[in-house]
Amino acid sequence: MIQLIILPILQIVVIVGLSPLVKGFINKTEARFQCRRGPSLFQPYYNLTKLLRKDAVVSETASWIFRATPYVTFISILIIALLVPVLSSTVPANFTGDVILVIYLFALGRFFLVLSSLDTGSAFGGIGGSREMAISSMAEPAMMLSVFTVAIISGSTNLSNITQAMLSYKLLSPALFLALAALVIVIIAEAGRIPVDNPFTHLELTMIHEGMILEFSGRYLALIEWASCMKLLILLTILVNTFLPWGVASGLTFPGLIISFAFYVVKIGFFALLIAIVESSFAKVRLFRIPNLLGTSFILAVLAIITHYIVS
Amino acid sequence: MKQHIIVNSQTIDVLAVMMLMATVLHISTSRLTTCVWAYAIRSFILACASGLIAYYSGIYHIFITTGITLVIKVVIIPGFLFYIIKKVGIKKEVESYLSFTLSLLCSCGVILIAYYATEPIIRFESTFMRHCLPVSIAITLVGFFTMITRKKAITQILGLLAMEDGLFFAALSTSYGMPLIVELGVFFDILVSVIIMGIYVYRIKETFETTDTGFLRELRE
Amino acid sequence: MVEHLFIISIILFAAGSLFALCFYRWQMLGNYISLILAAIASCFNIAIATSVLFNHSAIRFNFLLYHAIIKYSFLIDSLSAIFILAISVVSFIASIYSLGYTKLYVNKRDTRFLGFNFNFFLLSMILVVTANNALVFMIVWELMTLVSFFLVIFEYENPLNRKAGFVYLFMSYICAVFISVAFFIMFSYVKTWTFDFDSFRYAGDVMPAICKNIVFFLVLIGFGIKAGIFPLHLWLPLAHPAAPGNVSMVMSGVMIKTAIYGFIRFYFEFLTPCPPWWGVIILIIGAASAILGILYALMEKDIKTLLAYSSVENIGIILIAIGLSMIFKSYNLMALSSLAMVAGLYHVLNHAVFKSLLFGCAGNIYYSTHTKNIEQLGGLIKRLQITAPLFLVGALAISAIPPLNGFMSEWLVFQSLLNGSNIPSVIVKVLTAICGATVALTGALVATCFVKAFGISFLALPRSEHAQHAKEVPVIMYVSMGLLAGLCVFMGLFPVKIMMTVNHASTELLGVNIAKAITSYDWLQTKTLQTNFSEISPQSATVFGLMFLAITVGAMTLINPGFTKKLYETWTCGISPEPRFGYTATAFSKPFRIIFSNLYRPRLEIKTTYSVPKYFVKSIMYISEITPIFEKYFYAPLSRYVLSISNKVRWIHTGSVHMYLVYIFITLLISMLAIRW
Repeated sequence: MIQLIILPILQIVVIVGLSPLVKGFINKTEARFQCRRGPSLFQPYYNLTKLLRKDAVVSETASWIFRATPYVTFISILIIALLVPVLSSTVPANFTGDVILVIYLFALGRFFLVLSSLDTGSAFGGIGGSREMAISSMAEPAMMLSVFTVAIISGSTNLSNITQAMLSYKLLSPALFLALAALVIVIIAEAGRIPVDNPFTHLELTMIHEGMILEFSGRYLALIEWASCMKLLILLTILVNTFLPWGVASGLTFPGLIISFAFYVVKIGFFALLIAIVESSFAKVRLFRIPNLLGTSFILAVLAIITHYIVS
Repeated sequence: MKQHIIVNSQTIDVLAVMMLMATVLHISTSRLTTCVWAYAIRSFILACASGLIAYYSGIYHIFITTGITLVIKVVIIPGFLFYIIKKVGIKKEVESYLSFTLSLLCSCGVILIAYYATEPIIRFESTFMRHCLPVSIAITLVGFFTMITRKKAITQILGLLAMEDGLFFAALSTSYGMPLIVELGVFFDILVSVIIMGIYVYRIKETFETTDTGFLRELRE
Repeated sequence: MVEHLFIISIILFAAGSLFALCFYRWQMLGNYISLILAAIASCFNIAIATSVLFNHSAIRFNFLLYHAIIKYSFLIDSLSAIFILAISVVSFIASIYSLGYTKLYVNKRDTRFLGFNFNFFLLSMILVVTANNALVFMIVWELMTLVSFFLVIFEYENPLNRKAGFVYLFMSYICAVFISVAFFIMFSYVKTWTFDFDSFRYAGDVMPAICKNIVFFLVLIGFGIKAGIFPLHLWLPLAHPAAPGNVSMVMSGVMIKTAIYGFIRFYFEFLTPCPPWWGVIILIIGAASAILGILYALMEKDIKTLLAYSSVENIGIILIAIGLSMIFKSYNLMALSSLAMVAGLYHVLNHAVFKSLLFGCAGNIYYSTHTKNIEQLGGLIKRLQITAPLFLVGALAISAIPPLNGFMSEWLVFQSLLNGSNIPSVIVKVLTAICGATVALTGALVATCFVKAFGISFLALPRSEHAQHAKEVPVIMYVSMGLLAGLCVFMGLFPVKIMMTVNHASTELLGVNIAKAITSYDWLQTKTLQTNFSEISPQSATVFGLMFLAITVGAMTLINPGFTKKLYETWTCGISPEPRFGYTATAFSKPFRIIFSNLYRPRLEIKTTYSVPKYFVKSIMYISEITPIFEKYFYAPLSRYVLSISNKVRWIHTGSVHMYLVYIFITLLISMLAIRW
């Protein structure tokens, strides 16, 4: 019983606590690739604490939507953190919902973020918001098809059941391999990384996510920044723990959790490194080439489900 | 005695699907160099697959084919193509008669047909290795498709190479390779034809100031 | 007892319409009386529907007016009850809402006809879903068309409204022709020689396959026109915006659902055993309507047209569920068929609620700003302070955002689509998966569309005088919308209750009760929804959300207790912000216009006029529009063709009475000879 309460808390702590570190790690690695020393690994934490202590400047035009958005975004991500298997494949809160709920909770956060970007009446917000919606709409079908593939192979849409089912496979089947490839592209798009969106840019013609949050400051900005770090980590966690669930504890024993945590850190580190490599070696794609990229991912997902149906 | 050998490995299935992914990359990119890279990657995976098949089936002459594949298809042909691209100085990238989305959808349909058509055959195969036949046919068809829709001569060479890859993989996975001498002949053919076509591309460029094969229609008169 | 209620409600509706006509001097009084009577009658109907659903007893009437052919018989079974429930809830709210909305027309227009037609409209919808005889069905169906036509052209001075009314009437007649031919074909095969639905219920067994297929397509086109499926949706985005706000609420919320009712009656009762490809066709049409409907909604600037296109999309989603249910049924997977049917009916109820809410709020906007063009709005959140959150609830619900009701039905649709993996045929399996991707894309596009609708009309700075001086609407209007918003939340948070309700109908239709199989208990021992793939409990997600909210807010106050917000103007590169800087609806949907340019075929035209020296621009005209390809490439050639045919046969119409008498005479003779054959 006590474990049933401790594990969700542990999950939240890992996601909330580690997510700025992932961002710091990616930034550091990229700096290294560019032969810079780069900011400290813990820079995102310093930024967040600084922002949390500051007062905020709010636009006169903005309404209560603007002030509610950071909370809605942050909390929707926290609920998702409860549903995703992080350390153990047994997720105590999994009766709450499945991967479809996860996708739609992301949509909830996005819905409010885009509204708040329109709320201030600035053109930058509108640019960012409309692009964000366009890209996420294009990413949705591929995401849903890869989820379908995984769900049908493992017989469940519940993330913890998926992980349990996947633990019994030694090697990815070809269908899962295609779904994984499709999902990687989708995750890059959803998390707003290069080649879809450049998280460092503040040039009005290219920014997407940064455009939307331009008017936020103080604790509002902190919550949104933190939520976007957590979103990246959660997406990576879903990827890692459904497709490569090596080392995920299936029970709730203490040593099992420790080993699982070590594996988790290594796997997340590997994918973060991959993101850093991709970001350092590719340029941002032109905005209207992004549908092509996501179209490719959709085709891969279609192939995944077809190969599963026809071959097995 | 060959029919007694049964290779049954999921790794080869995964490799087959990776080859398919490389082919999808070939269609979905708009850069010529990425196309060549896609070819090199696919040939490398093909070499890995053929090495594995040689290992599992115990037919050791396939190792020779693997080695030749590595040398010719992974090193020499891509290198030569990169050289041609540099020499001809192609400015415009991949051009196609169809729009991007349409060609992607078409090739998806082609892959679908390949899977659907081979379904009655692969149903009787062993648990694994079911992907090999449909994937090889899909690669052949998609290669054919790119030859039809792409304008540039080099992209057409790449389409031809894709077809050859597909056929080679089909032979390899279903009957564990052709006799060595036939395969050597095919390799030699491919190498020579690529080189001839490369020179031909250069000549077209010299004569017409473009490598767009659409302009070859002007030769009618 | 319940039978009496039904008759009383009919009388109340009729009385209501007569009252509206009676008062000439005090029109508003008559109007109020008629609307209140309609509201009471709707309450009675809600009672009837719930009693039928929970007592499992169908109610049957045969009215005394007994003709040789027409038997005025009505039947309320659980399927009818579900639709009565949806219709009555929306009618009730719409009647209360109209108490406020009709103030718009005081001393400007004769409201007697509005009240008269409105009551008859509500009554006719109830009768359509209860009629138990084909002829009665056709009569009330036509009545529904006719009164709604009068409501559409209520503001008849506007030529656009008259055009909309004409298109609506024309297409509705085509629809009626198709349905009646379908009835006659079935009639000729059942040998009972009555038009009673009871005798049609076995028609599927006796009809040859080819006739069944013909009836299938006739019904598909006939009801498809009313439902507004692509490409038969032409009238819907014209007529729904033309009607007054309270009417379009009912039309979009429930009237198009009567067509869904027709589909279910025909395909699940009259024409059973049906081949799998029927379901596949319905599935494909559903997916196409969903995706194209929302893509066109995305391009709209008129808020009511946008909502009308979004109705096309929702009908598509309902049809996906119903098509799936048909496919499962034809493969004899009855439990799954029942699951898909539950999903479809759940979405019927949901759409009725949130679409009326959105249309009502659009009515509120029109009431206070006198414009429907969202480009002219903006900043309404500070002026319509209660309407804004209500519209937001509707927008969230329709975008399937948890924990509101749209999410639950979408979840059930996804679960039924996932169960497509149990179908034996590979092609159909792949199709269901692709449909899943389509529904996902649709969901994302709906979110974009409603972010646009809400964001552009309610947020940022007002872009016109109307929006600048908007005032909140009368209390009764937002209270009634508040009821609907509450229903949205309730139906999202307690899905098991709604599922149990619609389950009665699907049990009766398909003979399998899945209530036990799809409920489970969560940690607090409250009932949650589950399928073979997963379980979901929106209540606990909400509880967790509130918990996290408390913790986050607490932590924020702990970290920085003296937090202050400074108000300052938005950063617009150093100039003071103006309404012109904000994003407009056209700008917001621009990426989609480029991505889907093959579909939209956008046309751009920029005309610049210069003043005398060639360097000073006097004015720039910028025209940007999309080509309506269905109108251009399907309807325009069709209408040209029809016109040319009618030109050719014009010589028949000589204009002379004698000639016409000759025609009649010849027809009589031929038909007499035909009998002899």
